[in-house]
Amino acid sequence: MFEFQHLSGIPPEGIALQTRRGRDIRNSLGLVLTERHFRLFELLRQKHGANWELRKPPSGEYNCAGHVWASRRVCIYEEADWRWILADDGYRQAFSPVADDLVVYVEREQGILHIGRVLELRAGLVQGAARIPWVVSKWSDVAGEACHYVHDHPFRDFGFMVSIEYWTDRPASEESL
Amino acid sequence: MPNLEYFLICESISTDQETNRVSLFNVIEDLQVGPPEDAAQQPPVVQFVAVSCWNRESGDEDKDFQATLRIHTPGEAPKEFSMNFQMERPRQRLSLRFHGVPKLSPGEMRFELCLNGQHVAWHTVNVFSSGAGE
Amino acid sequence: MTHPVLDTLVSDEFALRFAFVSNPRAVHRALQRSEEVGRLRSAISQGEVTECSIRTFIAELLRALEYGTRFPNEYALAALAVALETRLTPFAEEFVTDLARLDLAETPIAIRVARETVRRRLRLPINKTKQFTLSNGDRGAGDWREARVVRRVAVGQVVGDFLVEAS
Repeated sequence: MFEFQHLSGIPPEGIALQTRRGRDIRNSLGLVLTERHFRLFELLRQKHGANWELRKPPSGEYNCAGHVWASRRVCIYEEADWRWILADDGYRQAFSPVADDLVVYVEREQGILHIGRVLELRAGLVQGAARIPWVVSKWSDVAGEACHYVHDHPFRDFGFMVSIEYWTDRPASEESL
Repeated sequence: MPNLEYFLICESISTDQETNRVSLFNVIEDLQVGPPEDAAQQPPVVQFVAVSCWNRESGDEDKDFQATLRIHTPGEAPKEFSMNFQMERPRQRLSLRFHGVPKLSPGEMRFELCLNGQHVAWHTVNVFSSGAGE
Repeated sequence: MTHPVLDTLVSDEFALRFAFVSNPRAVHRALQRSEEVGRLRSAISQGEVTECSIRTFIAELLRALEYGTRFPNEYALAALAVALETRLTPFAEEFVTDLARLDLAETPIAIRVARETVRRRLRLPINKTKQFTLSNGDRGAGDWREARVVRRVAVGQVVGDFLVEAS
């Protein structure tokens, strides 16, 4: 059914990318986006991103995992590979995030939905309240980059029951620092 | 060897093309036939289906299996009907459909299911004469 | 003219809910529980949307596919794969397996969603049937013989990819 498309498209190309333990991570270079993708991202911001700060307009080169683990060079689509990176690169779950830790949006049934990077901890709305992680996210391979509070994400409105995990490569002994 | 999930004889079967769900209609337990002297008696059913469902066990992949249905009718030699299959998926449903029913005598009509020649299950249908007990 | 339920798949409102999820397996599940895919499934099963019309719809969608550019309609394609996931027809099989086999950078999510549907299809039970017909008409000492299966079709019915028409 897709013979013509098979001949007329680009086979995905990736770069050499491995975990610290030498496991190959499947990845592919993204392509340029269409006007529709820009329009969709604008719609996303209008509906969900009133408090986001746009860092970068939409681009197709990388997705969230490519953003945090491949320096914005490629898309890493397979959740299994995300899990391998977390395991092989010495990440552990953290309960008190600091700047440069990862925030992982997880749904019990679907697995990991998204990964972002903590930029800083910002003061809460009320004096004395816990500080809130301020995160930079590339929502998907067709999104732009936005900075947002960790709980200010669109997944709930998309119908996902999301829980938020923090992952860090800091030693466990550093947790309280 | 695959293990049997269920085996039944029913009048008809329907598989939903949309969901792949199977429905079995009128599981046959008893059949009532006319008196033997009634040459024009109508059959109690005009068709029946032997349905079995098998679960794949480890090591079953790429192996050939043969399911055999042996029908034991009173006063007649058993008849055998076989079907070869492979456990390509975790579950395999097999249906043997029979159109037409031979003249039946009262007694037990027994359907025996075998896998690779080994007995696996029975389904027994009691055949009554409509004149019986009168 | 396409059926309204197919039209919704190309709307921005529909794409918005899936375009910003990075995990294709999660996109698959989200599509699976979406109202739109549910409505499409029921329209297909009730014959309101035929496989012929889906084929035409796909051809229309693919006109937007451009070499070296991200395909803008891939969530509609992915939705079709999910809607056809449990449908056991040659058309559905061809569509999901062909889409899953593609190796194109233009539509990475739809291809991966289709691969998930293929994985799930492989878990569906297979149905195998053999038919026997009583060889004599009088139901005497007849014997069952393996039957040659002749499928009756009605005018207007879709068989595989073909619409049965009166000659």
